[in-house]
Amino acid sequence: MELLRPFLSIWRMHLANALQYRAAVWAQLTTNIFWGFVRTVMMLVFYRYGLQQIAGYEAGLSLAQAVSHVWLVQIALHLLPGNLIDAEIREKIRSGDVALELCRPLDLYAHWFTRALAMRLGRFFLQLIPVTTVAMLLLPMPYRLQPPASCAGLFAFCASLLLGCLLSCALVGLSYVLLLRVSWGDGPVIILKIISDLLSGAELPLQLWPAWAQRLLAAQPFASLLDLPLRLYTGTLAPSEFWSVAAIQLAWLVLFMGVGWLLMQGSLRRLLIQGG
Amino acid sequence: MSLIQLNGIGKTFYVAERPPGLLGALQGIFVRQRKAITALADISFSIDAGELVGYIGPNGAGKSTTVKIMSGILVPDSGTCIVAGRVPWQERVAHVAEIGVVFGQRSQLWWDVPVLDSFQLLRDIYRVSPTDFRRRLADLADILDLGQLLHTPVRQLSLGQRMRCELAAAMLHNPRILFLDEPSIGLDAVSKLALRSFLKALNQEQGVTMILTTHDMADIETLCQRVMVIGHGRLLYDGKLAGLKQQYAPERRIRATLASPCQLSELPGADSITISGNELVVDFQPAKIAPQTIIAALTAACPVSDLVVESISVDEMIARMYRDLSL
Amino acid sequence: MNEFSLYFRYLRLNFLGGLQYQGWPLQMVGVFFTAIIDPIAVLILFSRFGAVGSWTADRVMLVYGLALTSFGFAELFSRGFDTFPWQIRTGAFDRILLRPRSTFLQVLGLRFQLNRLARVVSGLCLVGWSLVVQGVSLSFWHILQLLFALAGGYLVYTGVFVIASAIAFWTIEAVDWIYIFTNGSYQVAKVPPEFLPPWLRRTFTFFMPMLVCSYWPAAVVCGWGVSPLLGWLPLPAGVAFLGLALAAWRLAIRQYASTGS
Repeated sequence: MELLRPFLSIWRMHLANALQYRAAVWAQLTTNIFWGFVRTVMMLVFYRYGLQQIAGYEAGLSLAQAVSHVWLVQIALHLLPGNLIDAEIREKIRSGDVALELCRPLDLYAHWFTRALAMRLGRFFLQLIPVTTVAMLLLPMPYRLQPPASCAGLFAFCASLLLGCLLSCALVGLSYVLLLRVSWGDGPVIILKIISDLLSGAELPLQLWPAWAQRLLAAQPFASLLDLPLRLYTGTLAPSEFWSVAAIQLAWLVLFMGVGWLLMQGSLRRLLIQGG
Repeated sequence: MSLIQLNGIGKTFYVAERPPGLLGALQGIFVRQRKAITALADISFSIDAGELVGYIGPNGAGKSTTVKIMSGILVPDSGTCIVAGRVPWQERVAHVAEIGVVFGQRSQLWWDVPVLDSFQLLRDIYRVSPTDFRRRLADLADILDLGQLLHTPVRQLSLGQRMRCELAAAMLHNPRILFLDEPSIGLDAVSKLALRSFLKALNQEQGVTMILTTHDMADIETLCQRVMVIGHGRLLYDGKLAGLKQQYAPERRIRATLASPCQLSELPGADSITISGNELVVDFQPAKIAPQTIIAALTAACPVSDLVVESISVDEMIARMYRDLSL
Repeated sequence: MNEFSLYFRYLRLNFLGGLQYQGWPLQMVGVFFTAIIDPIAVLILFSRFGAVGSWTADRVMLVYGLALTSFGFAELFSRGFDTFPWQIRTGAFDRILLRPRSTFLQVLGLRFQLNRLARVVSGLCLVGWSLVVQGVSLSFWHILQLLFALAGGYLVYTGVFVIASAIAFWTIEAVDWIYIFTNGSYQVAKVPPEFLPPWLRRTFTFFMPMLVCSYWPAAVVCGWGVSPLLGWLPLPAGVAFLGLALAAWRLAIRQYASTGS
C-alpha cells in the first residue's frame, strides 16, 4: 500500500483535472456519440443494402453484434492508446526537462505507465455511464447497443478489457521510448498510433476483414487491445474462451512491458551521458 | 498636451471558481461560481513625450493590465485613455504601428529560424522601407552588438543574447513609445548593464518615451527619473524616486571600522548604535540631525579608520512600502 | 508589401523553421501513412459486402476524395487557424494584436506544415482513381466545377477552423466539438449520401455545406441525375460559410479585448 500511494495520488489529481473542464466533458461526449452514430449508420447501410447482405453473417457477426461493437468501441475509446502521449510529457522530452524527472524517487517507466493508466481510466469512467445510457437506452432500435450475450460473457469482457487497457499503457510506454529518440521526431509514434487504431478493431470489427487473414488478425498484439474483449461481450466468443484470450493478452502485455522497460533504461542512460 | 493620458481607468475580471478536491470537481461540471477581481480600480496619470517612467508594484497589482490597455489589446471597463492622440483599442492598426512592446517572458521572434529572418518578416509587417530597414538594422546591430547573432536560430541564443535581439525587433519600426514589461527578468549582470545603457541612450538621444515595469530596483534607480507605484489597482505614488526614498527610507546608516576598541552607548541624534568586533553601526535620520554633525561627534568619541554612509537599499525600501500599504 | 505576399512570407518562415526540426522526414512518412490508411475500413466493407445499391466503392471514393482534398487544403493553408485554439493560452494573440496588420492574416500565417500535404495527395489520388475507374469523360466545364468544388470546400473547412478559433476566445474547453465538423465530417462522406439519415444529410448540406462541395459536384460530373446547376454551388456556399465564420471571428475579438485572456 505504501508503495502504491504516490501512484494513487497522481491518479486522483488527473481525474480532478479532467473533471475541471466542464464544457470539455460535454463536448467530448457529443463528439463521441456523433462518431458512434456515423459508424453505426455505415454498418446499417452495408448490412441492409449491400449486394451480398449475407456477407456479415457469413463472417460470424450479425448486424446487432456489429452495431454493439461500434458502440463498445466508443465507450472504451479512451482506454485505447489513442493520442498515445500526454502533452506534458511530450513537452518535457522535447525541451530536455525529462532529465529532471529522473530526480524523483520513482521508476520513470512505472511513473509514466501509471500516468497513462490514470488518464485512461479517468476519461473512461467519465464517458462510461453517459455513452452507455445513450447507446443502450435512448437510441431507437437498429442503432442500439445490445446487452451482453451472457452474464459470464460480461465478466469475461470486463476482465479482458482491463488487460487490454494495461496493454494499451504498455504501448504508450513504448511510444515514450520512441519519443526519447529525439532525432526521430514523432513520426514513428504517429505510425504506431495509426496501426493500433486500425488493427485493434476500433475502425472496423476485425471479423469483417478478409476471411483468410482471420487467424493472423486475432493473434497480432493489437487485437488484444479491444477486438478480442469485445468478442466476449457480443458473444462471438464464448465466455469459456476467456482463458485463451487472457493468455494471449498476458503474453503480449509481458512482452511489451519488458521491451518498453528495457529500452527506456537504455534511452535514459544515453540521455544522462549525452545530456539530452 | 501629454503623450499618454489615462483618466479614471478601471478594469474588473471574472474568474471561475470551484471547490477543491474530487467532489468539488464533480460539482463543477454542473454549477459554477464566478468571482470578480478588480485589477484596476481608478488609475489616472499622464506622461509627456521623452519621459522614462518606472512602473512598479507587487505581482498581480495591475501593472500588466495597464500596459495591455495602453497598448490597445485590452479595453477598460471605465475611464479614458489617449495615447499619441488616439484611443488605443479603437484605432488598433494605426496605434500599434507607433509603439513597440517588449515582454521579458515572451518572445516575438520565431523560435526555429535565424534572427535575421524574423527581422525581415517584421520589416514586412510594419511596412518599413528597405533603405530605412538597412539603416536601422545597422544602427541597432552596432549598439546592441548583434553581429553574428543575426544568423543564429533563436532557440540557440542565451537569454541575454535573445533579449538584445528582442529589443532590436521592437525598435525596427522606429516607434515613439516603448513599453517594457520586465525586460531584465532572468538576465545576468553584464546583460542587465547592456540593457540599461541601451535604454538610456535610446531615451536620451532619440527621445523615445518609455514605460518600464520591473522588479529590479537597480533598473529603476539607474534609469527612471519618475516612478509610479501601483497596488490593489490604485496608483499609490507618482513622482521622483528621491521623494519615495524620503517617505519610506528616510534613515541613513553609518558603517565605521574602528582602529582600536571603543565603548560608545550614546550619540546625540542617533536612533541606534551597535558594535560588533571592530565594526560600529549608527542609524540616524538626516531630517533630525545633519550628517556632518553626527560624524563629527562619532569621530571625536572613537578612533575611526574607515567610514561609509549608506541609505537603505531600494529593494528594502520597496518591501517596506508594500508592507506599510499592506499590499 | 501587400497582404498576399506577406502571407507567403509567413509560410516561408514556418517552412524554414520546420526544416530545422530533425524528425521531419519521418513525420512526413507518418502523416502520409495516416492519409493512406484512412479509407481502408470502407474499402474492406465494400470488398465484403459488394456495392450498396448503385453505389460502388469507386463512386463513394469520389465524394470522399473531394471532401478529403478540401480538408487537406484547409489544413495546409489555414493551419494557423486549425491550431489557434491551442495557442491562445500562450498569449499568441496578444502579440498579434500588437502588430499593425489584419488579425485574420496573421493567424492564418501562424502555422504552416508541409506534411499536411499528405491528405491533399491521397485525396487527389482517390479522385483520379475514381474518375478513371468510372470512365468519366471530363469536359472543360466539369474540370472547372471540380476545381471550384475544391476551392469551395477549402473555404468551408477554413470557416470551420475560424469558428473554432472564435469559440476558443470564449472557452478553450469546448473545442473538441469541432472534430465533428473537421475530421468527423469527411467520415460522413464515406456513406452514400442517399442512405444517410435525413438530419445528418441536412446538417452537412445546409448547416455546414460539406456535401454541397463534394457530393453535388461529383454527382453532376458523373451524371448521377442531379440538376447540373447544383454543380456550381460549392464556391458561393463556401464564400457564404466563411463570411459567417468571419463575422463570428470579429465578434470574438471584440469579446477578447474586453475580457482579456
